[in-house]
Amino acid sequence: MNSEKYVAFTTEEFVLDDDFMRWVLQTDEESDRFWKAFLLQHPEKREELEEAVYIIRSLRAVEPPVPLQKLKYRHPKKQITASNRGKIGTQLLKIAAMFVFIVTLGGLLYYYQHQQIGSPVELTDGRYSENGRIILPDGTISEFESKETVIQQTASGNLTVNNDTLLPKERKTTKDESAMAQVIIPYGKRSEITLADGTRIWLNAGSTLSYPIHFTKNRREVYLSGEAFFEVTSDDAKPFYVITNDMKIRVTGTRFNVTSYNNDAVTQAVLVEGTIEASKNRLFGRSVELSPGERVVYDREEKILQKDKVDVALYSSWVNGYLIIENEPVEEIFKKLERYYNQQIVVEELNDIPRFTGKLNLADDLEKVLRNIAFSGSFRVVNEDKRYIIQQ
Amino acid sequence: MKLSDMTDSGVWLSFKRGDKKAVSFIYREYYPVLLRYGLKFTHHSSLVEDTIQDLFAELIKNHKTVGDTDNILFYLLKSFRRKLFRKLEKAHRYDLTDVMTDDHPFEVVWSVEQDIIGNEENEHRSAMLLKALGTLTSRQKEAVYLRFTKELDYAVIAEIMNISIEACRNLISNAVSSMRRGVKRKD
Repeated sequence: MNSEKYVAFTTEEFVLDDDFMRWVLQTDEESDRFWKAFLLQHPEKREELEEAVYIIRSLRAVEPPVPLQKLKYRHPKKQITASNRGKIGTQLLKIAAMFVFIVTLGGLLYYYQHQQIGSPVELTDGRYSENGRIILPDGTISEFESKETVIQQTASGNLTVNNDTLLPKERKTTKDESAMAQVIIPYGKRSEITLADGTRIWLNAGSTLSYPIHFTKNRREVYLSGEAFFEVTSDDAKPFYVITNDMKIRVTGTRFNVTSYNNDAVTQAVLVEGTIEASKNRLFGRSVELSPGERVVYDREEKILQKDKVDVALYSSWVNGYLIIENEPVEEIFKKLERYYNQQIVVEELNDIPRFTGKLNLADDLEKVLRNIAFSGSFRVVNEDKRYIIQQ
Repeated sequence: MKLSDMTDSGVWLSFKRGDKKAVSFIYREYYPVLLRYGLKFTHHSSLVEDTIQDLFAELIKNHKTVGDTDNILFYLLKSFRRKLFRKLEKAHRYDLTDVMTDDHPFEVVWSVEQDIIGNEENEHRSAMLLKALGTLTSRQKEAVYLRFTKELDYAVIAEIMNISIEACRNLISNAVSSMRRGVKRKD
């Protein structure tokens, strides 16, 4: 691309330019570099650029999601309909969900490129490791074998894992602003983390969280890949940011749950109480404000943020050891169970993809959970070679 | 090689060879696109869905003889639009209450409408822009939709809409100029 050509461009010309449009609508490192460099060289074009970005973003259509069941091409032959069990409304979970908001985010976090937000953080992928790990700011790594791991970080710098002290209380008052710790939880395990400000985070299987040992800056930033549930301690002076590869979320104080898997098609956030702002993780990102009961979805294919209303219990139940499921294709459920149990589920043969509605107890072993789904989905579960095979 | 990793030409070739997986893949990928596009011309959703079914039934029937393409989206949008217009015109011949003109309506919910709610800073600017969007013709809206939502090239849009490339550029350029005037007008 030739930056000379753009020096004399008007807002309209930017809007109509192919390369400019692609940059605005698609995240691509190379063009991102080009336009950032262009802006540095020609700060006088900032107004035109911002206006053009605004116009292009405004001119996009908001499109309704299309129901999944419509996406299957129906060759003219018999259909097997999924049988659904009745809705299970659980009062207890509704109450639990009252002060929870959930954010589901997809994608590994490689770098974070918004101007206002600090340096990029690379998260370690430890999904297939045997043990959980914590990487301390000085680079030392501690492993833990426990299935459920309790990690506590205090404001004085004391860090314990399952009540064993890893980092003692600091005597010196010099606090390194950039000191980040990274907690890596493989599939099949979970962790409960308390941060220096009292914020609590439940980290689900196959997730990595990077957090500062001290919150010295004017904002609190944590980086996530995988799924986590947050209870953020309120501090208006220091907003809390959850940053993932393709979305960032701003909170001042509330409880919430974040999930970010790179093998999911979407990144989403569901709010139960308070307000959050979500935006795409890039320059000039427009933010979407959520009210309780709303969800924001970032579709990686379409690269757009969209908002809708959802039943929050469906998104928060895992924290309490359950999965509440409403009319979800079984393949999606298998994906969650594979992560949670760290066991393989192979769909060998299914005429149609059945949907399931009901409550699954994650304290049960995987076989019991699968038989529970199989009962209503009219398929068979065979345990073979440590794998579960699904057959019609 | 997985279909999702293949180029459009590759997927289309598998489809022409009669690969059932390719049919399901193309359907899954493009059904939402066609449905959303169709519903901008009419609220008659069953008519739009029928058109998509007809289109696929025809493609499958003629899979051996259909032409090659390296842009499936373009190929489908073009044939779908033609079919839909034919169906709409036929439907309207029996429905005298709503006389069809050459100018098919095209209704879009613009993303700027989301801004209006809850973003005070931009509220005024967004309201102005939305007002300007209201003045666009259906053809302008369609071209703008294909350009900025479907991210298609001017030549492809021109082909789908059955107009010249110059006419297509002008449609979009005029629309953008109205938008820009809308944004500029600060009172």
